[in-house]
Amino acid sequence: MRRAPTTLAALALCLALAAPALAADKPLTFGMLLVGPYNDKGYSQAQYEGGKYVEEHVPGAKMLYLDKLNPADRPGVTVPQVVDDLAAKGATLIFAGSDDMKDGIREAAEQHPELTFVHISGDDVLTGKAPKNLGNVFSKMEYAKMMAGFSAAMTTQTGKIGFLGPLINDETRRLADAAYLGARYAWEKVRGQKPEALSFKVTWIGFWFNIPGVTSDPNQVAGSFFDQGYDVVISGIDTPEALTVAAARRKAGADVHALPYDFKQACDSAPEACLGVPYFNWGPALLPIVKDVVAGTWKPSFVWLSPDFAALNDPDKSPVGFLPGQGLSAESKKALDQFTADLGSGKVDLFAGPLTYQDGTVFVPAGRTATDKELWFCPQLLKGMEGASASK
Amino acid sequence: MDVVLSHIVKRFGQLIANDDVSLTLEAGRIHGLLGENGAGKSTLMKVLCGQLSPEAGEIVVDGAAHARLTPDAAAALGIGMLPQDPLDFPPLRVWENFALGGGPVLTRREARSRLEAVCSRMGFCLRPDVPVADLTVAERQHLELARLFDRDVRLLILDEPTSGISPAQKRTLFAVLRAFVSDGRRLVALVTHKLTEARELCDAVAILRHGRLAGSFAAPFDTQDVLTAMFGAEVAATATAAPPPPPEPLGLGTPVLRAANLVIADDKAVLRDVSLEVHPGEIVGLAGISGGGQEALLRGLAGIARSVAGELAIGGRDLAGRPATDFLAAGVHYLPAARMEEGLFPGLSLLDHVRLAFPDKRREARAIFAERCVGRFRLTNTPNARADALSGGNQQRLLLSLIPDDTRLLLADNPTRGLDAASIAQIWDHFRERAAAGAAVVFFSEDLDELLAQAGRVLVFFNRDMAADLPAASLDPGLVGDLMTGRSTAAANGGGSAP
Amino acid sequence: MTRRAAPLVRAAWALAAAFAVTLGILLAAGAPPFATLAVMAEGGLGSQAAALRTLAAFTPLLLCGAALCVTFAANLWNIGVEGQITMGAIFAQGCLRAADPAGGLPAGLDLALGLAASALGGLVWALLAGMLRTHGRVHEIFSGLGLNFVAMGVSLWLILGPWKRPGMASMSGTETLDQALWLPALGGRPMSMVGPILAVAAFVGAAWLLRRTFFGLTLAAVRQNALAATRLGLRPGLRILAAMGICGALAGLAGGILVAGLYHRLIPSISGNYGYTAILAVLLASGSLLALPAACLFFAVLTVGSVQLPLSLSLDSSLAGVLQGVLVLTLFAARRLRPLSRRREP
Repeated sequence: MRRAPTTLAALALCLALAAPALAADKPLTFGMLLVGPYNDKGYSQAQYEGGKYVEEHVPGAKMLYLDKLNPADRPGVTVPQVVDDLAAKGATLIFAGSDDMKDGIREAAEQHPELTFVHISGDDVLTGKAPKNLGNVFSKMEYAKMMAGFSAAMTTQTGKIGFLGPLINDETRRLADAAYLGARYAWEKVRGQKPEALSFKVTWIGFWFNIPGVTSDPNQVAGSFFDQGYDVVISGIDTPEALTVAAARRKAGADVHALPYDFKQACDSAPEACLGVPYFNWGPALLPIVKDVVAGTWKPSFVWLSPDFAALNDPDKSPVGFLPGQGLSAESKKALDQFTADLGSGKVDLFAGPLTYQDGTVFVPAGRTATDKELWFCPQLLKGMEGASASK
Repeated sequence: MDVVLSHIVKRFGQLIANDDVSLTLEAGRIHGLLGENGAGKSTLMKVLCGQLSPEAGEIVVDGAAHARLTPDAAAALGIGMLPQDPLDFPPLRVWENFALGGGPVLTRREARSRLEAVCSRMGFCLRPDVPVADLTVAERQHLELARLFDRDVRLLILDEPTSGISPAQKRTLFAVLRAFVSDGRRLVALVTHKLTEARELCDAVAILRHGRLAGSFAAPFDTQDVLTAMFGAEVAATATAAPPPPPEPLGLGTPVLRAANLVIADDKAVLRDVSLEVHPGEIVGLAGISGGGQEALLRGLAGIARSVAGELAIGGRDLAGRPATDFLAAGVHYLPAARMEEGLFPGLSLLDHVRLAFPDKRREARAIFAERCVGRFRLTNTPNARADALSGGNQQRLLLSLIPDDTRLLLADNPTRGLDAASIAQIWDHFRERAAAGAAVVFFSEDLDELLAQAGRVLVFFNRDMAADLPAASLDPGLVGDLMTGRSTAAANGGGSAP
Repeated sequence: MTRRAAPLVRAAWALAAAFAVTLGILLAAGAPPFATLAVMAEGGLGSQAAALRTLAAFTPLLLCGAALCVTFAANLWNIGVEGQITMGAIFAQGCLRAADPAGGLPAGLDLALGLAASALGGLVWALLAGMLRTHGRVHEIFSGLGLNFVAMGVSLWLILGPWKRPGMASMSGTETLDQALWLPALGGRPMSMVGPILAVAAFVGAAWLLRRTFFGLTLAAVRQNALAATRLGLRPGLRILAAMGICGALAGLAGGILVAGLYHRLIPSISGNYGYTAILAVLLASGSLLALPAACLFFAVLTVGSVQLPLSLSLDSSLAGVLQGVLVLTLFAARRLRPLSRRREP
């Protein structure tokens, strides 16, 4: 992660050198496959805006996007088909935005060796399944989730923090774990409280958003957290129920807070109830990839970008951000800034051992830090957290 | 108030329901409008009360001519109609229905005081807080009349008001109507197909036949003249002939039907504790006011309503609680009162009906249709016609022709309702043939005269209970009427024994 | 106007009205109306690849449409087709992932078994709704809707739980099936022709069943009048179950074809709203068996062609969904509001 600035510098150099060649080249057209609506105020909109950012910053670049690319919204339409269309329209670089495009984008990459493919959130390079023209990119949302957990633990009066989880997979377990680590740090190291006095509970609703009849109702789950004395709820789902419920409880006189997810402006709907929001900022994450492809220097790799801790909410710099909300006290905010700085400097490394999974097996032994691969494939919640590690 | 209908023409597509009908209704009199079903009586009355617009002619009320009336205009003129089927809201209470009865909605206090006033004036007994669903047909009629009287109706139109009420209730109604016109300013128009009622009540009758005015008579009128005007000379002769005597049972051997302490749970009513034997060759009539339990018995014997307790054996097979298909296998068939709604498939061809009724012989459906439906049952339509194109008489002929010949127990709910005289005669002939061939027929008719004329034995129902079992010898309209309205009990009259 | 020509005139009028409303909506949405329609048609039929995609969407639509005709024939509102597709897909996946392509049975037999299993899965799911109707007095609309959610829940649970791919469970679905267990692809790579052939066969079979057999007649009788059918001993309950079963089997087969012929694995929401769209298609064809394939094709073109809206014209692709709904509604309304309706049946 500390390599990032150097890479950028190198990139800039390459770009400067390649600039004359670029001008002669025909402008780049890239495709963007979004799983949800391009204007969902969440996961997909963040990617769409990232694409727009690239269009602005790479002269002549043009984005073709297709949103709602999922079997429910577009029955019978598969990723390879759309890639055929995009290729026919001149796209030479394709971004696929979601985990559920994993097989489709790999198949398309095999069928179109002349194009470049980047699967956001995928891990085919890590697992060795990727063809030569397919790379992965993702941002380390874990750090922003740590900050979310940190803010929650700084604020809670009862020592009880709820985590409103979506469906259970490696990514969501990882993020819940990160939030827990941030909360535990704040609780023990900053507030100096007893470890056993902190309760961190994860409840999974079953999907990224509420599907009546299929998932648990997130309103109900958030409400029952507050009923049981949990006074901060961290949301891991795509929709803002946790914050909405918290705002309603505040109106009724309860001193509760929540942290939404995904979208930078998510706090705006209920500012006093909001402690902050972890969000994606794809512009600075995608731009170097596009520039590499234009320059012909792109190599397939598994890129997992860390935030720019010094410029966390700078749209031109950090691929992941955490925007503190009005609900966070000035004191806590100060502690958070210190925490962010410590994470950036490496003074605090919450993925350092010893860390243990829920069932007692060792995650990271004492004396070293988890590798990306160990982090990425996350089989369980951590010891000390309540909640299911797998769906039954 | 005087009303003149002048040269009224009303068409429905090809059909001319009223063809140049002129009629004068004078104040202080009760006018009868007679005719067969489909003769155009109801249409004419709907024109009069503004529900239908005539194509030609005019309606003159107290000298003012109107090309057509709307329901509101008719109401403003003081014309009100008691329809054949009550237009009320069964879940609501009596006073609520009264309060909603056209015009401005009344407040609770207003409605209750005015209802009480009307009731005491007309001698009705209506408890304001009872839901209308719990009222008898006669009481619902009273409620409807109370609404009309309260609105100061001067021309009261009644469409077949006596179906579904007992002779005693009929007498009460007629007395009310007499009192209504007694001041010499108001008048009544009574639509009926029953000559006896017209004779009893009306000061003058007009007869409609095929949409045209076929005659008008002032009381006292000659029965034969009126019948000739209604049916034409030929049919009138047969209609006045006395029906052949009901058949005697073929013997007291094994009964076709044996029920002991049977309890039948129908959709709305539970019929309690029926014990009964019916022998081959019997024609058994069921008497009762609507909802008295006789319909439930028919549906229970047909296997459509469930027998929940007791014994039921038909043709020696124990059928209590068995599915409807077992009843069919035992030779039980049921003719529903609502022929189209319960008996036929409106969108299917007549040929398809034959195929469905005789699935084993469906390849010969055309031959069966020609021989049986058209030949034996005189169905007058083509095999590819849809059932919803059939007239009432043809509907019943089709239904009868679909009942196999080896039927042991034939159940019929109002088999002649709404049919013309020729069709009615054919149906009774057919039932007698069936009985003579060894089947038993059990039927219910709302028309007590018909019931007593055709049945060899009558079971009377009151309040979802079998009140009496009367042999042909002891049949008397007054007694049956009292039994079916609960005014008298079987024990007091010494009835209740099987023949 | 002769009697024979009247339905044609009526259809033409309805289509013209629908077309006019469509153009109006496109104008209101700020889209160039004719260009938009051309782009959608081109995207659905313009090339061999596009036509193959349309065929891929057409296959489950026609299967579900045929299935729905059977239940509509018995006056059942089988909203549960979605769940029946999903269950079919689950059964097919369960059968195929257990199959060993290397040894044991030949792959063709494995595939046949997989498709048979899919039909069985749909049948079981439909019978459940049917029995709730006949024995539990629960209307099939409610049970169908409920079972749709349950089926979706089961598929999600399998994908993220017991059937998750090695390593990381993914919303991308279960592990891809061995290539030997894919329905053989002829010509175009995304789609197997086995699906369309089965769909057409199922459609012809359903049409024959409804039009030419005694069973079809009894279903019509149950639809027309269940009371009268009871009276004739036609056992409406049994017929309802049979109709539901046939419908479920065909819908399940659609799910099996989606697994074995298109996606080659179980994915979340594999039913892809085909069930609901097929209901629209059957309504559009207004119960006419002859018009059903055309209606299914129309919806397939619309679904596939709408992909081009954001790609070619930067239009919000929801527009296609709006058009789809408005077209169906307009066609219904136009039938009622047609001019020249001087003749009224008495």
